[in-house]
Amino acid sequence: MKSLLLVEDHPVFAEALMHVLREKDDLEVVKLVDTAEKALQALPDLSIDLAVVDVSLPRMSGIELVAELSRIYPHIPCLMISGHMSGNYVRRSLEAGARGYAIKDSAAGIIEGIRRVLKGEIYVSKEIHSYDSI
Amino acid sequence: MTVVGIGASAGGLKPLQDFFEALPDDTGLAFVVVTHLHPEHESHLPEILQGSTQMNVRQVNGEIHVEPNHVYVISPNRRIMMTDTTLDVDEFDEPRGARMPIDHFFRSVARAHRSMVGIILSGSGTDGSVGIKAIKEEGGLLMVQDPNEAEYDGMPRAAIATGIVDVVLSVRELAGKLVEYIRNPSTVPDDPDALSPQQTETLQRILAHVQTRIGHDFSQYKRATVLRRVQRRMQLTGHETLEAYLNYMRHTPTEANAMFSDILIGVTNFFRDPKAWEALAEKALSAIFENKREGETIRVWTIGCSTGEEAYTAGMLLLEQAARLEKKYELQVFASDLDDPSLVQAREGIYPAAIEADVSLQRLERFFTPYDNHYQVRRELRDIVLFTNHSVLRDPPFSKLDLISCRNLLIYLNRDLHENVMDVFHYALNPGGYLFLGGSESADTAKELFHVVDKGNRIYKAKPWIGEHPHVPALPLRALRSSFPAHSVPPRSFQRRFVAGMPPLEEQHLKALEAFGPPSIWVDEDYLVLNLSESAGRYLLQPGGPITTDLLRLVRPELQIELRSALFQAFEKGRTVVSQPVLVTFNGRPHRVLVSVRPDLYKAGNNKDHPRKALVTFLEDETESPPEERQNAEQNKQGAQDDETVQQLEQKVQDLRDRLQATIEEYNSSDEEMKAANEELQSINEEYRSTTEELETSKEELQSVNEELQTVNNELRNKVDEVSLAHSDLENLMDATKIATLFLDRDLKIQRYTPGMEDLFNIHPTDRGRHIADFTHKLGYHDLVEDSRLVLRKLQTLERESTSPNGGWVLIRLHPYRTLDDRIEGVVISFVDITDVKQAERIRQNYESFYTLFHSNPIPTLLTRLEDNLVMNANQALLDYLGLPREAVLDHTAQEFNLGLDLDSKQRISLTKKLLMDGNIRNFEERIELPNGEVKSVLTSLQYIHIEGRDALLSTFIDITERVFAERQIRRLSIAVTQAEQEERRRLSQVLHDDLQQRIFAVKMQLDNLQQAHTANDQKSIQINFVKLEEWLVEAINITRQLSKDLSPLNLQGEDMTEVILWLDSQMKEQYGLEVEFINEGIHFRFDDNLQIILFQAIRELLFNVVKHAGTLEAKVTIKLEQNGSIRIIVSDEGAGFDPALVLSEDNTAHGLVTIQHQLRLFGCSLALDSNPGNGTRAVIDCPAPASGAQP
Repeated sequence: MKSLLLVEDHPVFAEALMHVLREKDDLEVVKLVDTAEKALQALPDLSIDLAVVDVSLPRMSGIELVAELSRIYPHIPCLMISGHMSGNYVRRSLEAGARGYAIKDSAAGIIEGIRRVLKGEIYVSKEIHSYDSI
Repeated sequence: MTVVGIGASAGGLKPLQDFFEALPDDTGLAFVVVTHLHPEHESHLPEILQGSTQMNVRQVNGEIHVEPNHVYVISPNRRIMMTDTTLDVDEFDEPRGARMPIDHFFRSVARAHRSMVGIILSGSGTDGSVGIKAIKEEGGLLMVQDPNEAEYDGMPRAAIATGIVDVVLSVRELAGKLVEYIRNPSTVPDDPDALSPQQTETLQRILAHVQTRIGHDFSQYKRATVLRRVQRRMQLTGHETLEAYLNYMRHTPTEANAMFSDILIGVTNFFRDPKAWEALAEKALSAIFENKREGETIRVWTIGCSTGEEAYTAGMLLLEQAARLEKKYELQVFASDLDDPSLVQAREGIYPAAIEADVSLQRLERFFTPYDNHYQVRRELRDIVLFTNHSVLRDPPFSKLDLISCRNLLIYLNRDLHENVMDVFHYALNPGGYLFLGGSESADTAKELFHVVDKGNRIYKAKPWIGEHPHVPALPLRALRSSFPAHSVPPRSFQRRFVAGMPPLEEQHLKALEAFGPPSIWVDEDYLVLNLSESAGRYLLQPGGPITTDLLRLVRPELQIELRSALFQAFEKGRTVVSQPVLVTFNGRPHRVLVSVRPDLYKAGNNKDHPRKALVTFLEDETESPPEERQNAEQNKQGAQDDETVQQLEQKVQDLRDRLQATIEEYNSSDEEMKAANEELQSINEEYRSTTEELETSKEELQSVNEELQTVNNELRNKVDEVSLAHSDLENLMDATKIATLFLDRDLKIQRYTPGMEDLFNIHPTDRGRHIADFTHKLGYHDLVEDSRLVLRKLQTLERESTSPNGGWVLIRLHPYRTLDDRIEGVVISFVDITDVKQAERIRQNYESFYTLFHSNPIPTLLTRLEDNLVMNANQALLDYLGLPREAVLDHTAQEFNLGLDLDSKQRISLTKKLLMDGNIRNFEERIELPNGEVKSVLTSLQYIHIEGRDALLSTFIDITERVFAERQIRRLSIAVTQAEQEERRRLSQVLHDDLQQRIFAVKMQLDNLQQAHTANDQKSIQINFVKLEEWLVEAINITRQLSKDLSPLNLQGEDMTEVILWLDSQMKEQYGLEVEFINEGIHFRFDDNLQIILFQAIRELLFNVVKHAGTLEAKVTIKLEQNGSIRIIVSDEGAGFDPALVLSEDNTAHGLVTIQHQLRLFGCSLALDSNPGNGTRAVIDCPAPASGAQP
C-alpha cells in the first residue's frame, strides 16, 4: 500500500480522481489539498511515497511546488497531472524535478503514471509525442 | 626787323631745340615757330623751347605785337598769321588733315611785305612748300634742314623740290648761316639810281658775267629788280661789296646759275588772279572757239610758265570750253620758260596738296589724281601741254597762235624790250588772236598792234597785219644765240620797227628810194596821214590850230584843190589818178608839181573790211623855171601834131614801165611769201626741237622713274612685311577671341574666314570665292543671304540670334565691310557664342521663378548659406510660423531658431553625409521649438542648391504635430485593444481550463468508474456513479451556456441606454455579487450603436474596477440630463480609491480605462476620474446630446 499526496484545486476533478483511486487497493490518497501552500504546510506531518500535483494551481503553480519539493524532499517523487498537452509544460516540469507527466483526460494513464513513477521510472503520457521538440 | 618763320612737324622738336641752342640771343630777329599740334592736346612746346634759349618764348593765343629777340609759338588748333607788326591767331577753315599752318603763315608774312626768312625743318607732308614761294617772291631768304639729317624728310624735300630754296644745311649750320646773313647788311643801296658810277659798272660786269656763263642777258631787265636779287645773293654769300661779290662769282661757277634762278624766280599759282582767268574764258576763249570749226587746232602759248601752273590753268580752261561745246578740237598749249629745274617740275605735273586752295574741287577731281599727299595732273591735261626751254627775247616765237598768256614777265623787262616783245606777240598771234598779260602790265605801248578787250583784266586782241605780209619781228637777244662770243656783240637799239631786221639790200633800196625817189605820203581813206617819206615834209605846212594829220589841211594850200580831186577819184574809182601840174613856190621859186594818188588795190580787193589806203606821190619838175614852163607850153601847142607819135611812144613806154612795175611787185610779193614760209618753218623747227628736248627729258625721267620704282618696290616690300605682321596679329586676335568670322564681298562670295567657321559651315579653305548660298550650315538661321544683302543695301549692322550646332546659342552680327578709304567692299559676319549669356539669362529667369515660388509657397521655407548657416531668405509662411518679423530672421544663423531640437550628433553626421551624397534629404521627422516655446513636430526636407553663386540649403518644414499626436494615440489604442483582447482570451481560456475542462475530465473519469462498476456488475456503484455523472454534466452545460452568453457580441442596436445599464447592473450582481444602485431621473436616451457599445463597456469596466480594486461590493450609477441636452453618467463607490494620474497615465497601457477614454473621445465624449486613496472613486462621463434627444 503506497501513500499519496494529491494537490488539485478543482473540487469536481479531485472528487472524480479520488473516486477512481479509492478503487485501487495498492494506492491510498492520504491527503488532498487544493493549493501548493497547503501541500507544503501538510507535508512535514505526512509520510508519503508520491505526490500527485496539478500543474495549474492558483498563486504558486504546480511546477513551482515540484521544484520546492525536489529541494526539500528529494526522496518524494512527483507526478504532474495536467490538461495541457504542451511539451513546454512537460519539459519545465521534468526540469523542476517531476518524475512523470500525465494527462488528466485518462484515469488509466494517471494510474499507470503513478505506478511507473513509484517503480522508479520516468513516465510521460503516450499522447505527448515529443516534449523536447515543443 | 626781320621775321624768321620756322615750320616744323614730325621729328621737328629736336631740330628746333638744336636750332635755338646754336643761336645767339641778340640777333634782333623775331622768331615764329609753326608746328602741327594736336588740336585737342595742350602744347608744352614753349616751355620746352624755353629750355634751349634765353630769348622770351611765348605761345600766341591772340593778337600780339612782335618784338625782336622773342620766340613766338603757335597754339593748338589755331593757325597763326602776321598782319603788319602783329601776330594773330585764327581758327582753321579746313578739316583736320588738310591744314597747312606753315603755308598759311608764310603767305601772310609775304602779304605783309615783311622782311622775312623762312625755315623748314623736319616733318612729313608738304606743308610750307607753297608758302615759301610767297616769301621768295617778296625777296625773303629760304632755308631748309638737310633732308639727310631730318628725321622726316617730307617737308624739307618738298621745299627743296620747288627749286627756290637758298640754303640747305644741318640745323646747327642753318643757325650759323642765319646769323651770318643778318650780320652782313648790304652796303649797296636799294635804288639803282643811287649807285655810284663804279658800282653801276660793277653791276653791269656782274650781269655780263652771268650772260657769259648762262647765255642770258639781263641788261635789259629792270634795274631795281636785278639789283634786289644781287643784294640778296651778296647777303647770302656773305659779301659786302659788289666787287667782292663779282670776285666771288668769278671763282664760284655755280653762283651764276644761282643768280640766274634767283632773277627768274617763277612764283605762280593755279588760277592766279581768278577773276582775270574768268574774264579770259568768257571774253577770249569763247570767241576763239566760236571762230573755229570742229577738228581745227587751237594753239595757246604761255610764256614764263615756271613750274607749269599757268600752262595747266590755260589747259584746263581749254578743255572745259571744248567739253562745253561738245566738239572735238586739237588743243595745244606751248609753255616756255628759261629755268630748266622749273620745267622738270612742270613736266612732272605733281603739286602739293595745298593747291586745293586754288583749284576748285570739281577741277581737282577732273584734272588731277591724288598722289601721296600731292596731286598729279591727269593725262588728258598733261598731253595738251608742251613744255620747252625757250626765250621769248631770243628764240623764234611759236606762230599761228590764238592766245598768248604772258603774265608777270614784262615787269622784269625794260620798257625798251616791251615793244619788241609786243611785236613778237603780234607776229605770233593769228589776226584777232588774244593776249593775256599780268596785273601790273599792259599793252599800251603797242596800241597800233593790239586793241583792248578788257583793260582791267589785261586782255587784248591783236589787230590785223599792218603790212601786206606778216613780218618776223626782231628778236632783241637773237644775236646771243649765235656762236659769236656774247660780249662781242654790242647791245643795239631796236627802236625802229620793221626796219632793223630787214636784209641790207632792201634797206639800201629803201634808203635810195627815200633819197632819190619822189616824196610820198601814206594815207588812209579819211585822208589822214599814216606815214611820210623823209622828204615829203616839203609839201606840207602845219596850219594854225590843233595839230592834225588831215592831209588836205596839212598840204600846201596850192596843192589842196588838185589833191582833193585826185584823192577822191582814186578812192572812188580804185585806180591811180595823176593831177594836173600845179605851180608851187618853194624858196621863192616856182616849181611844177604833179600829185599822183595810187590806191592800195591789192588789199582792197581781198578784204572789204580793210580800211583802204593810198600812196600820195609828189612829182616835181625841179629844173624848169616858170618861163621855161611857159615856153614849154607854147612848144607843146606848136608841135601838138608832131608830138602825137611821141605821145604814143611815151604811152607804150609807160605801159611797159607799168608792166615792169607789176612784175617787180609780183616778185617782191613771192619773195615775202617765201620769207614768211621760212620763218614758219623755223618756228616749226623750234617746236620739233622742244619735242626732242622733251623726249630726252622723258628718257631721263624714265630712268629716274625706274629708280623711284625700285625705291617704291623696297617700300612695298616693307609694307608687305607690315601687312603680313598685321595679318598675323589679326589672325591671332581672331584665334584669341574665338569669334568665328566670315568676310564676304559685295556679291556675297567668300573672301576670308576664321578657323571657327568650319564648325558652323561646311566650308573649306578651297571654297574662297564661292557664293555663300552654296554652303549648308548647322545654324538655326536661314536668312543669312537676305540679311547680308540688307546690310549692303542699308549699310547698317544687323544682329540675329540662332541656335548653334552644339545646342547652344550664337549671336550673328552682320556688319558692312568698310575699307580705310570708306568704301563698302562687302559684309563681315561674326558668330559669337552667347550660350553662356543665354544660360545666365535663363538662370536669372530661373532665379525669378524660384523666388516667386519660394515666397508664395505656403510651406515654411528657409534658404541658408551652406558654409555658415546664415539665413539668406525666408518666406512669409516661415515667418508666420516662427512668429518673427523678416529682419529678425534674415542674416541670422539658423541655429538661433532651435530647428532640429532632438537630433543627436550622430544623426546630424549621418544626415550631413546623406546630404553630401544625394544632395537632399527628404522628410525626416524632427522636433523644433518655436520662439514662443511651443514644441512642434515637423517633417523637414533639405535640398542642396547653388544659387546666386553660393552653396545653399533650402529647408522646408511641414508641421505634423497633430498627426504625430494622432498616430501616437492610435498606436496606444491599438495596443490597448490588443491587451483587452488578450485579457478576454485569457479569461475565457481560464474559464475553459480551470472549470469546464476539469468537470469534463471528472465526467470522463466517472465514465471509467461506471465501466468498472458495470464490469463488476456492482449495481449500487453504478447507481451512485450515474447520479454523480448527471450532476456534473448539468453543471458543465450550465457553464458552457454562461460562457456562450458571455462571449456573444453585444447587440445594443436601438436599445434604450437606461435599460442596458439596468441589465448590466443585474449582470454585475449576478456575476460578481456587486450591489449597484441605479439612480435615473426617468431619463431615456439612445445613441449611435457604436457609442452605445463603448458606453456599455465603459460602465462595465468602471464597475469591474470597483469589484477588482475598490475592496467593496457596492457602487452607484447616476444618469443626469444637463441643461444643454447633454447626458452625464456618473459611476461612483465608497471604496479604497486610487490615484487617477496613475490609472490614466498614458504609459499604463494595461489599463482598459485608458482605451475606453480614447474611444469615448473619438465620439465627442469625455471621461474624468476623481479619486483619492481611501476616499472612494467618482468617474464622470459626459456625452453630447443624443441625436434623437433624451426623453425624461
